[in-house]
Amino acid sequence: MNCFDARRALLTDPARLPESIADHVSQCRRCAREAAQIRRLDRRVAEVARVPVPEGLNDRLKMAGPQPMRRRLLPWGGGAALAASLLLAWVVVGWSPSSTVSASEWMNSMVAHTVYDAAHELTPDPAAAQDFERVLRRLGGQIAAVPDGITRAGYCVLEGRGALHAVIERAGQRLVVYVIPGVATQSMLVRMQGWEGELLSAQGATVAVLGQQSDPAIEALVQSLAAAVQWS
Amino acid sequence: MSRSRREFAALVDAYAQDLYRYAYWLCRDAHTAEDLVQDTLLRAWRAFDKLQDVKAARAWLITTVRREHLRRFERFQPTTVDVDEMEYLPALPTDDIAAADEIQARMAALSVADREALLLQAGYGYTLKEIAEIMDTTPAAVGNRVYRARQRLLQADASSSRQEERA
Repeated sequence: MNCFDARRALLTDPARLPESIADHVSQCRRCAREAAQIRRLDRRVAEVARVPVPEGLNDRLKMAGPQPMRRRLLPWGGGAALAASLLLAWVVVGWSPSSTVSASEWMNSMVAHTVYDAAHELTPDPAAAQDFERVLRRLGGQIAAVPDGITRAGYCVLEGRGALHAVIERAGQRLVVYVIPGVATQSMLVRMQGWEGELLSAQGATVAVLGQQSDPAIEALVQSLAAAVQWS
Repeated sequence: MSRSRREFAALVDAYAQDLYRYAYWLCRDAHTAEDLVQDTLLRAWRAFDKLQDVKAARAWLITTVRREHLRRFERFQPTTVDVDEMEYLPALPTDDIAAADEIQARMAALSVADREALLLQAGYGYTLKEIAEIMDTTPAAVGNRVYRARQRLLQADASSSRQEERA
């Protein structure tokens, strides 16, 4: 046993030293000093690892916990009734149940899609306004007045759902718009991968607008679109 | 309260805080960390009967948080701020190194794998073997990571002390 072995063991696992190392450390002044220094370092690491936990975390988790009725298999009668109601809702109003994808996952997908399509979005398309209306109609939506400044519009699939994907110019900035019908999620502000944006769920759809710099136009556009689109 | 609710509440009370802290270190976002914990605890609740060994359960839960994080954020590391959650944002840790505590800033300079291994060992008390299972590697590789992490933090300490002495 020597100081080299002791140092190696101290740096690797100071809380679980083999007996022979612990003996050496207790007898060697230099290693004892080093052990004290390493344990002090570990205490500081442990302090920063104790991230403050948000107030009410446990209560929120319990509230959002398992819903036993939803998780159990329904008896045949109940199952058939549920299936019939879902089918009726889908046929009559085009309704589909809200997605289990979280707001941050939606935003992840949108930003990934936007980054992937960045070059495509730079080229204006003269038929963009008509495409905007056409895709919206295909998704079951209608808008009284198509917004100004649409330079691209198309259909895309995000998290397995069809969505309107458009680019709208506002105050010299290209804003990327996604409209996903039948999805309700938490409203959220986002800053990721060089994009700033807002996601808003209202009136049977989720609308998101992303821009490359913070701009009040983002909030104005997301709110006006969420209010303007009517879903059949 | 139904049995399933009671079981879930017991899991929350036993593990939520530790899982949140670890999740926060992984994703650096309060809302996402809470989502990760929620998903992990729901999975745990489904496997409740297998989780009676408390020690094994803790490592299993940490592994699940980590896998879920990797699954979600393989390609992107978002910085999201949920307007409804803003009051819950913790003061620490922060990505703003200048404003952060000294040790945190130094830890931020470590590689992700070295920092994670050190946090799991010195911060949360896991053994090399447990960390190897969590990080899907060998205990020897974890040993190297924590060795390197401590060595770098101590070197940074020494260099800062020398600078202070010169000043």
